[in-house]
Amino acid sequence: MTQQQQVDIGTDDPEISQFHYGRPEYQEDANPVFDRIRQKCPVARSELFGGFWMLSKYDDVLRAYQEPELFSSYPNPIPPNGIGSERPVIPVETDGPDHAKYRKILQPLFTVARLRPLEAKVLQHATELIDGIAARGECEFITEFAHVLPTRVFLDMMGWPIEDAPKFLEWTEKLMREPSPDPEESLQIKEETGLELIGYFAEELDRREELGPPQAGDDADFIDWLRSASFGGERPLTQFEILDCIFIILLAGLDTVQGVLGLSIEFLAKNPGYRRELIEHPERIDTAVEELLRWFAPVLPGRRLTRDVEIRGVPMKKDDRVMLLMGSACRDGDEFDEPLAVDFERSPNRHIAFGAGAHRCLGAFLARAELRIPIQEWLKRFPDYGIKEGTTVIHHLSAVRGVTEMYLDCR
Amino acid sequence: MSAKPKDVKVQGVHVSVDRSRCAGHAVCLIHAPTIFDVDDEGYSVVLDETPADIESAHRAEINCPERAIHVEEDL
Repeated sequence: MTQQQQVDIGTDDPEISQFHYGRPEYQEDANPVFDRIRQKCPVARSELFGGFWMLSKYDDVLRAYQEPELFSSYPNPIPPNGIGSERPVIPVETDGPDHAKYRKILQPLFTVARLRPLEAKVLQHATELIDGIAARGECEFITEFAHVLPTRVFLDMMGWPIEDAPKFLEWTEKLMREPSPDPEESLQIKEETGLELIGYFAEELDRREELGPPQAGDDADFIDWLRSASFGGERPLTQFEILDCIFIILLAGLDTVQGVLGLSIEFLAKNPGYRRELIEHPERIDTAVEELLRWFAPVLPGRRLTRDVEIRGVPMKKDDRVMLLMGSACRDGDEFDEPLAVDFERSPNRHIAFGAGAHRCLGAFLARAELRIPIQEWLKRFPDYGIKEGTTVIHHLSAVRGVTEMYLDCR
Repeated sequence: MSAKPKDVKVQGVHVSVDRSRCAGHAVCLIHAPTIFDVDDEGYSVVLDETPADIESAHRAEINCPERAIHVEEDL
């Protein structure tokens, strides 16, 4: 039986066998290579970083999400790196019963009922930022809007003063981008920045401790909820666990929202027909946001196999790493009609930009609000905006894709 | 999602959520906010098991990323 030799896993195609999202040639646009992988060898293998599999079909990616007992979340990034490398990041890199216990604590904090009041804050911040931009008639959208908005919303969610926003913007800017051309210095700056952030969180926890025991239940704000939480009915969360949770909530909701918001505003700038559609049919905003999420599905998560398995005739081994090519899965013609066309009324649209299964993105409701409300307000105020003449939009691709720099003419 | 001959009249539907599949996306709330809600833990619950708005129920069903919603038709 030579089946495994017959299945093409991209070995002879250097674009596939040498793929990694960090490579410079994919920073602007990885869709061509995603499409190629999906059409040519839907289960592919890259030889980089010790080798990893790539799943490009919607069904396979969905399965990986829905079978966490086979597709472990630890470690998540390929290669394992950066923040949280010493221990699993809670809850995204935990599995099984432990994950379920963390999830049980965190999920109630992200329900529609609890987050809906934040929509008014999102609107308030969007309006304020747009006012400032309108006064100048132009902007660099990422630093002046897409980065600021989710940062402010995070502070609101935590109940922290908006005056601390500049500090957070500086910290998160360093964490999300390469603060130095020298990789080692960059890593060092990131580590120091991470410590400063954790220091801020820890000070806040200490301050709360001095004030007394936490509020519990519905009266608890975000931090008190975590302080009063019980891990599986066994014990309270440790301070480290609480700090990890706050840290991941900040980071998970930042470059993702910033990414899709930037890409969406760029798309609407360059495609006036779609822009007009949303202006003339504001009721389509919900399905439009779903379609933009499908189209830009920004995250490229990793998994680890817990046992040997064969997928589409390709045998894989226990402990092999697997990258879920979400950007590809959401362009898969076996799941989506006309997958390469953007349709603001698409239905069904079972995109998995937020993942699926046990690890489904907790912040999805908030993320949707942080896309829907700013896009609506932006189009109301700047129906004729466009990319500033003589400038080019710069993109990046890593575990999250997005816009690095985009100058807009907003008159 | 299945196409039906036009002359078959649907009398009503029965809506259910498979809680073992639901992961709390809340997409059903986007498409059918009067039929679905989420509980305190963030998972979908059916508010109206026999809704009059059959179209919205179907939209929620076909858009669920987890395939957790079932709309059975009473013919």
